Amino acid sequence: MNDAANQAMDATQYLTVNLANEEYGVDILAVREIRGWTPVTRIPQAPSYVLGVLNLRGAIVPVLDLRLRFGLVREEYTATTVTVIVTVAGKNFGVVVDAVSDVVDVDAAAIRPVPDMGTAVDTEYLKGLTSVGERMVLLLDVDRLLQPQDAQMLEAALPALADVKAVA
Amino acid sequence: MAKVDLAQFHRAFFDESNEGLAAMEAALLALDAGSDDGELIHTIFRAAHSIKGGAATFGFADVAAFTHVAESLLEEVRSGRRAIDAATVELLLRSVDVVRVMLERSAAGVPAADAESEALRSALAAMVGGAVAATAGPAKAAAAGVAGWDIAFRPFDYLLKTGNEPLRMFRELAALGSFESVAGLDALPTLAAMDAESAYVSWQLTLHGDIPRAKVDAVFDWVDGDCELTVTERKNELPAAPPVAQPAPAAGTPDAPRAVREVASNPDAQSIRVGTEKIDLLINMVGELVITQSMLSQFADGVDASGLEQFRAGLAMLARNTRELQESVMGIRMLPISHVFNRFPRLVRDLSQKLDKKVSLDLRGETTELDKSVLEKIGDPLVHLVRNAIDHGLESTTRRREAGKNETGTLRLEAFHRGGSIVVEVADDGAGLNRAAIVGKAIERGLLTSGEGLSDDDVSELIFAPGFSTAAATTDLSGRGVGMDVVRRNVNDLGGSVAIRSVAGKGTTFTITLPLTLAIIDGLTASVAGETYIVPLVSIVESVQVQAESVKSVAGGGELFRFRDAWLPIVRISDAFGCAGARRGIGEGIVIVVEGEGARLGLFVDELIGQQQAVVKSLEANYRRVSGISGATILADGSVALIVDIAGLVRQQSRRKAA
Repeated sequence: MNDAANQAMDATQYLTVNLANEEYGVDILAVREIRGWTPVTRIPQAPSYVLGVLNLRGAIVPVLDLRLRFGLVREEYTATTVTVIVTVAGKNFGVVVDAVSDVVDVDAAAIRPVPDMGTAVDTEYLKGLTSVGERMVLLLDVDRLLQPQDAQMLEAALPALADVKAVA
Repeated sequence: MAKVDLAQFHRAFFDESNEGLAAMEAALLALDAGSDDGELIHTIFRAAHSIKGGAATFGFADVAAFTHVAESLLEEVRSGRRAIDAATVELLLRSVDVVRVMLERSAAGVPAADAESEALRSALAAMVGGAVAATAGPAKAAAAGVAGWDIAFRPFDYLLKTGNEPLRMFRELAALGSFESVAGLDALPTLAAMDAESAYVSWQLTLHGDIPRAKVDAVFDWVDGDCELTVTERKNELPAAPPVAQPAPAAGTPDAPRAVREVASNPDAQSIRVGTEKIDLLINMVGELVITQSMLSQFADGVDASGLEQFRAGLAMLARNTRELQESVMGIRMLPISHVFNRFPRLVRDLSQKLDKKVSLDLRGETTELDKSVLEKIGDPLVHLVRNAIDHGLESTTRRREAGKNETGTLRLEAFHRGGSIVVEVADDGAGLNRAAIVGKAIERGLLTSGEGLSDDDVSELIFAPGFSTAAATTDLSGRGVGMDVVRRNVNDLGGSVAIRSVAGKGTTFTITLPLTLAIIDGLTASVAGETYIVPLVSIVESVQVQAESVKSVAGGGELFRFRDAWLPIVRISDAFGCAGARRGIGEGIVIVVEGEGARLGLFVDELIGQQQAVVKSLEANYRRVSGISGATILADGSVALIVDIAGLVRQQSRRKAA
C-alpha cells in the first residue's frame, strides 16, 4: 500500500507525440492545449525552426516545428498534424508534431539516460528515455526547445549595435 | 477571531504612504517657497501621522520609529511651539527621502533602517529635544517619576467598524509596561438585541511604570473621537500634575484622526486602484470585440441583399459602441502627467541650491493625461532633460546679470495635446546650445572632422550621439556622457520622438512627442509577398508610385528616389524582413514615405490593403524582440500581422549608411 503510494508520487504523466516514427514524451504539466494545425505568420530574423506566430485567443505565440528543430526533413502538414501549446517559465509556445498519441505514467526511477547515439535527435533536448510496454519513449526537455543560444547572443548584440549610431 | 493575513494590505499601505510622502513633499516645498498657509503644516502632519500609524499596524517598526520622531517635530510646529525655518524644512525634506527609501526596503523585505536613517533620526530627535527643553520644561518635569496611568476607555458602538481593534491597542499598551484590564459590561445588551459588529464593552485599564504620556496617547491616536477616553496619572505618593492638564493633549490633537479620514475620502483623489492585470484583461477583451466587429463588417460588405439594411445599421451601432467602450476602457489607464511632474519642484530646488543658480520652475498642463505605461517610462528621460537644462542650459547668476537677463532663470515644463499625440516640452531661457563647444567636442570625439557647412539642426543632432557631453568638468549631476542618447532611445521605445530647438542667448527647448497610448494604433495595412504588415499611420508622410527611371542605384547596393526636393533611400520590406517572392520592380509596387527619428525613407511594399485600428500585442511576451518589428496585431480573420517599427528601420538604415 505504502509502496504503491510512493510510486504514484514519483510518477509523472507525459503526453506522447509522434515525430518521424519515434515517440516523444512531453511533461503533461507543461502542456496547455492541443490544436489542429493552422497556418502561422512568419517572423523575420527567426531561426529556421521557428515557423512564425499564431493568435492564441489574443496572445501572440511563437510556433516551432519539432522536426526542423531536430534537423529532420519537414513533411507536408496532414490532418493529424497538431500544434501542442506548452508553457515554460510563464511563456507559451507552440510545438508542431506529426500527431499526439497517448498519455502515459512514467516512474522517475524508470527514466534512463539517453545514450549518445541511436536516435536522429540531438540529445541536448532530451531528459531521458523510458519504456512503456514494448515502446520506447524519449522524454523531451521542453525548457530548452525555445532557448537557442544564437537568439540570446543576437539579442545581447543588438543594443550594442544600436549604440553605434553614425553621425553623417 | 480569525487571523487576518496583513500582507494583503501591505501594497495598499505602501501606495498610500507614497502618496502621503508626495503630499508632504509638495507642502514642504510650498513652505520653503515662503507660503504661510496654516493648512500646509496640517497636511504634512497628517501624512506623517498616517504613515506612522500604518507602519506600526503592519509591523514596520523601523519606519514607525522614524516617522514618530518626525511627527514629534511636526507636532511642535503645528502647536505653534516652534517656528518653521529653512533648516527644519531641509531636515524634513530629507526625512521624506529617507522614509521613501525605508518603505522601499520594507516592501523588499529587508531591514528598513540604515546608517543614514539613524543619523537623520538622531538629528530630528535632537531638534525635538531642544524645543521641548526650551518650551515644555514643566511638562517634562511632570512626566518624570510617573507611577503609571489609569485609563478609562469606552469605545463608541461603531468603533469596530472603523477598523480599530482594541486588542491590538491593549497589546501595544502591554508592551509599554505591566498592564491590567477590567472589562465593563454594563452596556452589554441582551443577546437578541446584540449587533455583532458593535462595540459594547468598556475597559478600565491600568498601566504601571514610568511611561511618558505621549506613548500612551500614541496608542489611542487612531481612536481619538471614536471613544470616550480619560487618561489619569496614577497616584504614587503625591498627586503630581493637576487633572486639568490631562484632557488638554487629547484636545490638542483633535484633528489628527479626523484628518486621516479626510485624506481617505479626499474628493480630489477621485480615483480607484485597479490591478493593472485586470485592466490589461479588459483591454484584451475589448480588443477581441473590435476584431469581431471588423469580422462582421467584412461579412456585410460581401452580401448585398436589401433585407440586410437593418443588419448594417446594427453593425454601425456596434461599431460605435465598440469604439466608445474602447475609449472609456483606455481611459482607465490614463493618468495625469502631474504624477511625473510632481517630482520636479523638489529636484529643481535641490539642483539649484547645489549649483547655486536661481531657477523658477513653471509647470503647465499638469492635468494632461497619458497612458500609464507611457507615464512610467517618461519620468527618467524628463529628469535627464531637467538636469541638463539646469546644469548646462541655464547660466550662472553672474553670467545672467552680465547678459542683461533676469537673475532667476526660468525652466518651463509643459504638457499638451497636439493632434493624436501628447507633447511634453522642457524649455529653459538659458544661453542656448553652444555651437562652438559642441562642434569642438564632436571633433575631439572623432564624430566629425570639421564643423564646416553644418546646419544648426545638424549641430543639435550631435548632442544625441552616444558618449557625447560638453560639460568641461564631470559633475554628479550630468556630464557623464550618458544622457541625451539614452533620452532619445527611451522616447523612441515609447513610439515617440525628441526634437530640439535652440536660440543662442535665448534658451533651449526640448520637445518630446509621445503617442497617446501604446495599446492601440491606427495603421496602414500593406502586403508583401502575401504577408501582411502594418505601418503606423503617425509615421506615414505619403504613399507614392515611383517610376523605375527615377530610382538611382548607388554604390553598395542602395537605392534612392526623388521625393519632392530630397533623395530618400528605399527600404524594401521584402529585403528587410526576408520575404520570398515579393515584387522586385519599383514600378510594380508602391513606396510609403515614412518619417522616424527626424529622417525619412521610402518603404517599398507590393500593395496597400487599407487602413485599420490595430490592437498592439507584444511579441516579447512569449517570444523576444525582433528588430524592425514593434509588435503584432490580430487581423479580422484571426491571423497575426506584424507592425513595422519605423524608427528601428531608420536606425538600421543609418547604420548601413555608416558601414
